[in-house]
Amino acid sequence: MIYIQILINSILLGGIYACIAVGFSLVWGVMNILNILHGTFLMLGGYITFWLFKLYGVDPFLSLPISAIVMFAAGYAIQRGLINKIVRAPMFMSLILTFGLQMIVVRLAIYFFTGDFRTVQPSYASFSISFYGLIIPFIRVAIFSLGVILTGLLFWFMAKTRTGRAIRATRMDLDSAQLMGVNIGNIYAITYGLGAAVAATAGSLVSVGFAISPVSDLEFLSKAFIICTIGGLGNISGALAGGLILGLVENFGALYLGPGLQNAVGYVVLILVLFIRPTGLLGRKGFE
Amino acid sequence: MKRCGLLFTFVAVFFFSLGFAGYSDIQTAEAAREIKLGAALPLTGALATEGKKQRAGYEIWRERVNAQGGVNVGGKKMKVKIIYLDYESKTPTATKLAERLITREKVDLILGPFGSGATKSVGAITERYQIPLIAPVASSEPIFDQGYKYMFGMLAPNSFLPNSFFELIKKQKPRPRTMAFATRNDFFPRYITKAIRSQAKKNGFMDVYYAEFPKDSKDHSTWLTIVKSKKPDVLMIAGYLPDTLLATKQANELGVNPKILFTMVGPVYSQFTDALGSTANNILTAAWWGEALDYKGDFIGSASDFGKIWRKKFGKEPDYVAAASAAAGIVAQRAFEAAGTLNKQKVRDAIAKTNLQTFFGPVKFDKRGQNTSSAIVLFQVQGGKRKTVGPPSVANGTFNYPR
Repeated sequence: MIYIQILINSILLGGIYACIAVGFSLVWGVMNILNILHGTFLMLGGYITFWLFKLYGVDPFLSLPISAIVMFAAGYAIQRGLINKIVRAPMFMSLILTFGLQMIVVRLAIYFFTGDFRTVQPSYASFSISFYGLIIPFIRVAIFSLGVILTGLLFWFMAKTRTGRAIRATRMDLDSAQLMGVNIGNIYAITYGLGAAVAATAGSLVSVGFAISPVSDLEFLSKAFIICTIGGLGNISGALAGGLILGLVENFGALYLGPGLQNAVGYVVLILVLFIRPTGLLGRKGFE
Repeated sequence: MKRCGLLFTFVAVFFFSLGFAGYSDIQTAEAAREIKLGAALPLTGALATEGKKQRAGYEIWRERVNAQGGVNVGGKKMKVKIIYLDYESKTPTATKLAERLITREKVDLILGPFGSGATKSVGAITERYQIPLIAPVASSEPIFDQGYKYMFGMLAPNSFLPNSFFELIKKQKPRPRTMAFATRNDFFPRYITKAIRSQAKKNGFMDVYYAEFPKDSKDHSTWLTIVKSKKPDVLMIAGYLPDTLLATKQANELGVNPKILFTMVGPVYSQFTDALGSTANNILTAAWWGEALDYKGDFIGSASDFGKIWRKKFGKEPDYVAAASAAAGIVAQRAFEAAGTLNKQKVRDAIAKTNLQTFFGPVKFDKRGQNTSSAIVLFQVQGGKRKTVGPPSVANGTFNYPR
């Protein structure tokens, strides 16, 4: 029974992990940018939900579109104004730039929001479905479903819409895409904005399922990093697989090896995957 | 050539300013009619909230002392100056900054950093330079077992907790029998868990589960699920705020419902109760101080007076971190007065002889430098309010059992 319960917990956790990673994967895959700001967007999205809930009593799940729209605009502007200047430079430059921005934003967040840990605890937080001694917490299911729906929406967007196809074309071959009339500058900005929007929505979900503080952004970033590397970069199903695998590995690692090694097993799997399949489990060569 | 010139200018300015710094130090030392205290605090980083509370506590004391003209040292009124440095929540930096406060700022006394770990490191430095250290937030005994002469801790030792804790839970009916433990893999949480766990058997409790979770754990579902299957009467969760907050939240979601949920740290922090709302109800926790306690002193007044001052400044309830910090100031103040000099050896001896009643409770250090006359108080959140439920000498409410 305990195994089934832990399996359920793992899958529910994996869904939110996937959601945390998918925006990071998108930006990295398409723009070849290691976006340190990803965790920061996530944190800001979480704060949007938290403050709307705290000050105006807005249900956390209703504030998802608000965080998405606000952070899309912010991401678009940051790409156009700053990141675009180094988009052709070596990857190292993107690290430095986004890391610098991360520090500024996090310090400002500490100044305005304080370093306190916050969490959104709606009145229905303890609702759960239970049968045969198994417990499925309602709020985790909601987070999981929304995370998966969001990832699905992104998948649909990339596969079916004109902009999505342009983004994929840009990722595959920059020069050809440009020759076919794709406005690369705009595509980059949209991609970055999308990455930020997905991160922010994940952050909104995180603020309900976990606790957030301005300094927790790098912890979530490191999760995103592991998930993308395990699952394979730049594709959405890779993030989904990576998220679920990390959720399972962490929870069963905690069960068999003790909770103290919960995070460590994630890194062990990361190294194993890098040894066996450097492109990630679902990654394809030439896409990195 | 031009570059050489620029470099030369830099070097010159550097040495010039060094010279000046030294000069100004001599100046202030001679003209000093003020007492210089130093505090390295975690003002940024993960512990920023705690560090700021400590600074606010020190400042409340300093403002009060200076408002009445300063500290009376051998007939002269001396104003108090506190130099704050930020160790960014990194213990090695705290050590370096403490050394800087002593050697460069030439402070007369060091006010402690946050937590047992950082206090241990800073204590090694103050001992080497033989300068008194009053540590408001360090309670783990091993720090005080090193034979240090210059380190004093405001908090009652951790070992006081098991007595009050078991005394309270043993008398509940039906009597709880089994206990489970989960602790963050870190100095203080592990220590406090060990303190309780080592006494569990002696007090007639069966130890059914023990787990350690990592520092930045984002998911506690696995060990909570195991705990649930063991059905303990009592669950103790030890860690810092992000850990206990998330673990309590997930315990609530997963329907982990022991008769007694004991978290350290927990609902004594207003951040905890603010974040969790009614989920925090009936959680048992312990702390070294609370506004509701019947403590009184001749400076700052009573525990509730300190509460009023704090509320007026910050609009929320104070906790023991702030109170212990302000009280550390009072101990320093009385020691300077009793010594009648700023001589570090004499001030140290005066601190050792401290026997005070304060708003923070009684302060009297044992030979090892810990405040053993104080108590660890048990609290329970009842209907959003903190009630002291033990030990009986300070309790003002009855314990809700089972939760």
